[in-house]
Amino acid sequence: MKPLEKFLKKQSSHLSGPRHLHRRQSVSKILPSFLRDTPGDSSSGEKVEEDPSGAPQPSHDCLELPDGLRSPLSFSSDELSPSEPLTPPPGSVGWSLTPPGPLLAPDSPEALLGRVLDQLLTAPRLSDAAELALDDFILTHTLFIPTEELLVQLQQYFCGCSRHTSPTWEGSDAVQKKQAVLCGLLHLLDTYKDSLQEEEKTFQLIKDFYVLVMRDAPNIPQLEGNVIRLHRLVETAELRLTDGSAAPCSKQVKPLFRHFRRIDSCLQPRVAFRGSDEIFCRVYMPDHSYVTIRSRLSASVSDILSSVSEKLQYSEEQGQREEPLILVAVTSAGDKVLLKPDDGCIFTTLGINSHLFACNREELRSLVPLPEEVQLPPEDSHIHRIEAEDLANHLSAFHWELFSCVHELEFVDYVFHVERGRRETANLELLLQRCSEVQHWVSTQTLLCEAPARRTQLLKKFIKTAAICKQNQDLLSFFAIVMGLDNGAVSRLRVTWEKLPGKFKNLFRKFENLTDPCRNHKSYREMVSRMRPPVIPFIPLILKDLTFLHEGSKTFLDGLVNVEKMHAIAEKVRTVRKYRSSQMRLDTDVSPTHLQNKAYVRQFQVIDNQNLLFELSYKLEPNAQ
Amino acid sequence: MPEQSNDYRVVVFGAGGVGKSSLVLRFVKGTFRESYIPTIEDTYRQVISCDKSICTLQITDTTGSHQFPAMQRLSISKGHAFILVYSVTSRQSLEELKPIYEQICQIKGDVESIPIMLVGNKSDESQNREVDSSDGEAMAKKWKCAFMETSAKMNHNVKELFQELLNLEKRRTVSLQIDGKKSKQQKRKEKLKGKCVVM
Repeated sequence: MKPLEKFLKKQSSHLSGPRHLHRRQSVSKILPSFLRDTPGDSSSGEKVEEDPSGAPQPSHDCLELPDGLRSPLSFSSDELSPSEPLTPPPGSVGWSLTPPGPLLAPDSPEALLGRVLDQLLTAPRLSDAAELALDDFILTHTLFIPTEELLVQLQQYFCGCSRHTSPTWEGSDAVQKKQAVLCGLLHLLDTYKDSLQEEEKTFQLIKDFYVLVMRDAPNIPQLEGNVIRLHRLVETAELRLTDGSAAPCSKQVKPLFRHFRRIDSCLQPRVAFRGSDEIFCRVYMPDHSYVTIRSRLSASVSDILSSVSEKLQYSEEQGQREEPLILVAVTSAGDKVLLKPDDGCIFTTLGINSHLFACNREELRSLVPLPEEVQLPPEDSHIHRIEAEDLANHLSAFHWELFSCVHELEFVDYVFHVERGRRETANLELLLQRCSEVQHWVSTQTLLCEAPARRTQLLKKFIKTAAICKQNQDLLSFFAIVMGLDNGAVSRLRVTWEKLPGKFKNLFRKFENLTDPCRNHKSYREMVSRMRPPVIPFIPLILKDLTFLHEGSKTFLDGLVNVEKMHAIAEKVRTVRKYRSSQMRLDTDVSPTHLQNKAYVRQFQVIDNQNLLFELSYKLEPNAQ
Repeated sequence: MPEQSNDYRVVVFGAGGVGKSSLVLRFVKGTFRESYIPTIEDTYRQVISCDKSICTLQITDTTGSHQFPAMQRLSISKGHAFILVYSVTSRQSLEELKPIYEQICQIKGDVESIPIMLVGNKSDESQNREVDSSDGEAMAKKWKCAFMETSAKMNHNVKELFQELLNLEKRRTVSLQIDGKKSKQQKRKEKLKGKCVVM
């Protein structure tokens, strides 16, 4: 085991990266407001394929294991590294268009697991149908069976004491059965990737299972390949866990949001957030005093409040604290949202210019936004200095980083959290927040520009930037810019738009068509279907599709799992996997202004108060229709 | 961000554990606790009088660790007055103020017109004293700033410290004294003693 352990140490050093599970949030926030009231016939529930119908990709090399076993997803050791994209499993090419075989029939969760395992009995040589069924099952299992329960059942199968067996299962020899169970388990662990250790209970079950397998391993040499893989996955997860406490530098406190604008920190590549990460957060008092607390990202509202009162020395002063504190999110427009004591992981769900306030219940009405949110920021000159191409490339590079940080299961968790346990979806939330930040930034910059000629120049620059983003296949930035220009406060500036050269007017009209939600975003879907990875998709649309899948069909039909729905959800997740199946590389120039531009693009100052934007707009062109 | 000219910003610097937060919380809330919670950055606001009208005194309590040099620079450039705290029980903590003082000089340029107070806290811990008050005075003389010894625990010289600091401001008249309705905790907690206010 010596060389293996050395290898593990090396792996773990760059394993602390992205992609892992995160917690979800309230259902009302599932879709950003701009999509919630989208017109269009999206209710049809029709599944629109986003997959390129392009040529099949060469199948990827598999990790050759001592006994020639093949992992279900064939992750090579390199692919365990967080910087590498998820590779689509071999045989995935045809999945979305024509499933390699009929889907499993609806069944109870336990029986379904049995049938998935039946198909795995041929491991290591699996049919495409078996791999697909397994992937569908693992990606969506939390909708119908808790992960802990799934692990317990797998363990029973492994020990030969499962209550749900089939004739096929009974008829197979013990080694084949164990092989099939290991195959299923490994697929689960591969899917979780570096978030494996995040949930204590699940991870403990996995470790117990691992001990069980290790005890069996010497007797069954055929299992060796899978056992080594299991060993490696569990070890790396364990290392990640101990790393966090042992080496402080690998687990730095991460400043979140806009509370700490620091050029040095924003220039570092983004790594994914985990619930166990410690972050800084400012909590304000009604008089705008604030304390900065250090908290776990997943901390509950009551945890946050107790840190605040501890800081303010409430707890030690008798009679000081007449009433318990409440935590309120206040937006720049002065809207207040009272947060419930057991809400968790709230930091990433706040609006762009929202702040957390702690106060007594009676002070709630007196809360007002911070002065800096009410005053207008000065016109920003950087936007006029930066070239459209630099702007677009920096946007795309940053958004690729953020997109890469989102674990594929976050998409499922975000939409289906009602059925699931509580998990964090922080990375997905941050990406959505960024999308709306870019939109508001485009509107803000245009409206802060007082000179009419420069304003028209700015429109031109934004349209150009959108065009380059589209060329980069960064559709998130593309959408955000176009939507920012489409903001009512900007689009009503008739005089400004009229001065735009015809070429740009036409280009923008074309862009508006591409972002048009009509016919369930038909033009966008056609465009994206012609693109090959890497692609940064317009994420809100994926969430919208998942939401319709969720609300349009039941998870259980007469107590049986709706396999078709699970397959459709898994398909959506696999499109994300596909978009990221190769790395986005952009020409970033190395001029001295490069770092300045990079820092600029990564932290925009925006006005997210629509009333304020309209006020600015009326000041610029009072008479426009 | 636009300057809020109506605010008077005081920034408290010093090594970790010298009692910056204790001084600030004793002044703002009138409380003291034995337990130690490292500060990242907190800001408290109080209404005071300034040139015969009211303005907001912002007291920023900073971190004693050197984790955030960028934040330190920002605090200095936005600050109007500074309190440099060391503990009389640690010579090291006085030494650690030097780079901060130098940075203030560097960022603010003309230091003599800026109110700076050197503060030796924990004056109650006489048995552990490492720094004599004459040492503190000498350092203050060298730095051309004011000096005071305080004890946040015994509430000794705390209010005086802030008042003295405001008295050093020559560009405008700032005073803690207002007959305002605000600062109710302060009113409730503070036992006024000694020292009168100017005006």
